Amino acid sequence: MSRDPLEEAVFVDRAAADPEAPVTPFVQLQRVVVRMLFDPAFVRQMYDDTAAALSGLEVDSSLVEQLLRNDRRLWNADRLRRTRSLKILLEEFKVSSTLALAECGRLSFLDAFFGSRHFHEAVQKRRYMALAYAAYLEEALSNGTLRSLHLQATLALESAMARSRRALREANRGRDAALAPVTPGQPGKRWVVQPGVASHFTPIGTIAVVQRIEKYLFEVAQVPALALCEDAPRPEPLPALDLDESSRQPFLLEPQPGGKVELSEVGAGYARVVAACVRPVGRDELGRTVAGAGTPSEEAAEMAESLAEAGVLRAVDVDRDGKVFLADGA
Amino acid sequence: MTWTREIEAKIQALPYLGVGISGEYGVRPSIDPTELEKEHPGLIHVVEFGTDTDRGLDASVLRWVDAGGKCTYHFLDVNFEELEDMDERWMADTASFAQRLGSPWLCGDSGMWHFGPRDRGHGLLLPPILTRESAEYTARSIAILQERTGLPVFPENPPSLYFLGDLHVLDYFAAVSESAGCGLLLDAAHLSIFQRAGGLDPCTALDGFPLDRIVEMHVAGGGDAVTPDGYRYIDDDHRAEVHPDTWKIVEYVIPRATQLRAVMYECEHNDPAATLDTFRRLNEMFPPPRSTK
Repeated sequence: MSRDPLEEAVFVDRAAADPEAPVTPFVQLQRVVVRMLFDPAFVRQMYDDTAAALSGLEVDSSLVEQLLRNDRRLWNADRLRRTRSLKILLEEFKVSSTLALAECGRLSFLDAFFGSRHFHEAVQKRRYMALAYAAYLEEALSNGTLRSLHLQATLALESAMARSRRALREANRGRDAALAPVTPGQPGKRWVVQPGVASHFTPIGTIAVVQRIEKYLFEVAQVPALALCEDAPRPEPLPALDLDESSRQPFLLEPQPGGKVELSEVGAGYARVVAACVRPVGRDELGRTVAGAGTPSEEAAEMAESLAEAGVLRAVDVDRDGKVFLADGA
Repeated sequence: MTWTREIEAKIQALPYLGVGISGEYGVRPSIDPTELEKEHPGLIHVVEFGTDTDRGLDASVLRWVDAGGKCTYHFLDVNFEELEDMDERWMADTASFAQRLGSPWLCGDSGMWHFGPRDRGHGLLLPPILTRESAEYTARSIAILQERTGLPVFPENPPSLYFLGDLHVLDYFAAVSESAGCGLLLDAAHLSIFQRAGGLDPCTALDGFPLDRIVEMHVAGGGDAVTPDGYRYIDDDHRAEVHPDTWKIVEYVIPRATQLRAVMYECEHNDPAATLDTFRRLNEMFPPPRSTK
């Protein structure tokens, strides 16, 4: 099939759900500008070492020269840009952000997200900022900058919820990751989650931590000037967590239109079935997958059937080419 | 799709709406159009409602529309330079909001309304890169949107502190219009900012611009601002007082824009009393339609 250049561009851009897919040079430059608007350090690098700042990008050099002829103070004219964006991130990651601040005591640690590779990559590759923020906090935990186990547990939960609501958004835009083609040559009936549905296992006590922090944030919000007080209340002591891997509490995450994610406790077997059905999975494979985690394989199919009846899973048909179709009535 | 006589005829058939007021989903306290019309009848004849598909419509605009008021839809969430943004769901949602408002067209600043995918916190507004290549992509997106929604789409020249590319902003949008086969929305305040940034006269390049394709105009207040480190710029803050450069553009364009259907005064966040003189002046320049509802 031949396409004219613009049709080809549509095709290329549709494939841009793959963040590595090529984008036009002028769009790449637009994204560079966004990074400059958020990050004064990147502005400095753009002016002082342009080649390094733009490494790996395909941009028109004459446009870059034009860009750098601007008064560099203009990039910081909106001084509340980062604060507004951070506010939105703090609303979605309110518990983990609070615990991160409780541990490090510096707002600048969260603000530094906008100078991190996570933020810059998200902008340049058209990814979600919220998921990049989660990755920034996860990295701080993995490299020892932050160590709180409470943060680890709540961040994992809030990240799972953030991924869940965005999977639904993407599906609504026609990019349902669960229905992407599978390996060809294995046709048949399978189950797959509804858009954004997921399961999550969390240490017992995590929900109590979430509730404790929500209560704390409500109370401190009554006096915004608390930030100036040496005797400002602290969120500690926090409820204890049971860190035993074998006694994790399983939850079902179901995203709703409007961004809410419903969280409900389910049996561990059901949660494992949901986890296995993130991509289309047939009866045998499902049995093998969950059997390894302790759920009898013969029960897995029954659980999948009941989850499909409850609207948690979808029945799908896979053809010889690996294309996935919703089964009749699914 | 390119500009044709058929498109010209479609534009000619659009309703004449007169002078109106802008409105945006509850960001700040706003002038309620129904109240303004009640207290100062005859000043506004249409409301332009700006929103994104996540936030949707609000009570004040629905009250206006349900009482028979005219309304137009202004999008705030599409990057025309990125064809990936033209997803079916967004186009369907946008069309349904416009339909609910009875909007005869879609319009909005043409630029980068968000980084990343559409999501909360990703919003901003950058101007397009003013090159022929970018204009072609923008035109393609507009052509797709017109085709899928069945509504005319009028791209608007956006504000910015900087512009990149080798085209004058008016030449860019003239190229978009020609290639997409679309009418145009000229924002006089944004144009005055562009001209001043380039050290140009407010009316530079208007003589070569297809004024007969302007269907809607925006008029807004703005003023000098300075950052703590001394950077001076015109802030497009929609204050009530319209800059003299903007008035020059308005006075040049209105008598020459033969297909002009609506002039929106973007002033909704001001004290209504501070807006009355400008509404009166605009109504004199662009008289009301015979029937306002």
